[in-house]
Amino acid sequence: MPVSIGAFYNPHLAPAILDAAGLIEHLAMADPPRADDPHFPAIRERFVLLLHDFLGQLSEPLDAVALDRARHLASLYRTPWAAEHLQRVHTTRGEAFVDYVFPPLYTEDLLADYVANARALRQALGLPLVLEPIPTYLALPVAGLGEAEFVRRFYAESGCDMLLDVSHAWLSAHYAGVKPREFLATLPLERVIELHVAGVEPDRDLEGPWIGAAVPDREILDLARYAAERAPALRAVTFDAFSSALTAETLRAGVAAIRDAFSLPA
Amino acid sequence: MTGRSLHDALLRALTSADLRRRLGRPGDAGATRALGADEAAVLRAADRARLERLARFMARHFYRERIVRLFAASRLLARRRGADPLGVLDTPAFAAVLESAELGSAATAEQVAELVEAALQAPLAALSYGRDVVAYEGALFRAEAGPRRWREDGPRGQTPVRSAHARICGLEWDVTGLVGAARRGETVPPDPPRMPTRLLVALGPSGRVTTVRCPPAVERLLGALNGARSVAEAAAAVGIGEPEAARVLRQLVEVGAVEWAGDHPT
Repeated sequence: MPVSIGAFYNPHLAPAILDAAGLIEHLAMADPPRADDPHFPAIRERFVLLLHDFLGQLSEPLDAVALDRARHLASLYRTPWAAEHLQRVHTTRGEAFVDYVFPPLYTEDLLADYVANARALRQALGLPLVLEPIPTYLALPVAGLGEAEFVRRFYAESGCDMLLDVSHAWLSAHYAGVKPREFLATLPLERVIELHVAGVEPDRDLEGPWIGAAVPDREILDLARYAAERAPALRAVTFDAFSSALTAETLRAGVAAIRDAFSLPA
Repeated sequence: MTGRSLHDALLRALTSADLRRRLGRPGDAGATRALGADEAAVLRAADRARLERLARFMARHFYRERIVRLFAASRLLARRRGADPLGVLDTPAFAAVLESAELGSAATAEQVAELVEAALQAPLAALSYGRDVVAYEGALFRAEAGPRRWREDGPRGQTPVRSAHARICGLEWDVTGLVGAARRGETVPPDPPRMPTRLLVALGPSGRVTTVRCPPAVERLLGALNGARSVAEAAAAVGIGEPEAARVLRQLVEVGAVEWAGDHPT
């Protein structure tokens, strides 16, 4: 099955995205379209849309409101699968929260919760559910499963598919002090149906590399190829840049770099 | 200790400078009380430098996103005059805020809003409506710093109370059209009409800030909600019929300006 190459829908770049139809084959939707987005009807007609919104934190069961919202978005986008992050951004009671992707601790109790709630969401949506692991910057000194085992068991026990963000995997490997290909080899690549590819950039707060809305460099592109060659179910590769600061030039360059890496015409 | 309780503790530490300071003081009972003894012990044994860096990263991202989204029009107008209030994120004053930041709190939002407003003062000084744009968007920014409800609530009470996170914004210019245009990404927003305007800014349960126009009758009704009056008593206090008061209150509940408190029917 041919692999689709796409990008995130950045509404401020809608005209440029419409011009790039062909170069961009699908769009991942990180936010619902604004009601007054004049371009969305054309976007919806021209591209395959992939649901990639915050549906809910899967360490907790999704309530009826969240499920209705997820169903509505899935229907609006006519999405072939729904994607969510394998993340935990707020406490159980919700009194503390961050506003950025953040991984759970890789423990048995949280694994059981994620598995149960992901199964329930998948059944409620009636769609394949793909989960995207988040890179680990800070590992706590506590006995647990480790990122690779948690991820492997999560997919095996939940029946979900995998969205592998190649940059995330590179960062997890970097901060764990292992080689990226060795880290990738521990993941269930046979379950990957979508790859995210983006650049990494130095971050002053983390004092090291982190996810950036930048064109991926050769090392990341090579790693993406390496993963793709081991992912027989792969359907889509997405340039993972979603930011109000993103320019049309960077968007096109990112997609073109991926197409080039996968030997597809730009 | 479970993985869940430890992750809750980690999120609380990442979002609270006070808790991290306490974790850094061996024997500080405050951290143990707030986080749990086992959880505090694990966090104390964690890589403290990475914990601090991650907290700084999360905080800078948190407020960057809110400045971009909630000061969209002020920022657009300032950038056209060669200044960008996002620059406050690079100042020693912002670094000082981070030293004591409690993410999502009203107090930290106030400190950040004051920095942004100070940075906007000179660039927008020549605009007759500049002060009102900043005042309105400052109200949005402050209103957003309230609690989130991540799940559906249980049974509600029957006494209407004004939300602590709702605020009235009195303006000389009606800048709502300008702000809406900036949020839609229009690069040349319309000049606002000079028209005395009173707006009610409120934080909805999911974290969405909503603005509605606030005619005198609605403002009087809000003022009559003293936490003890029923709907009928509040209606009588402002001289309107109970059905009308109930209709308005339902709308105010939807946008988050009013909450139901007290006993609920069983």
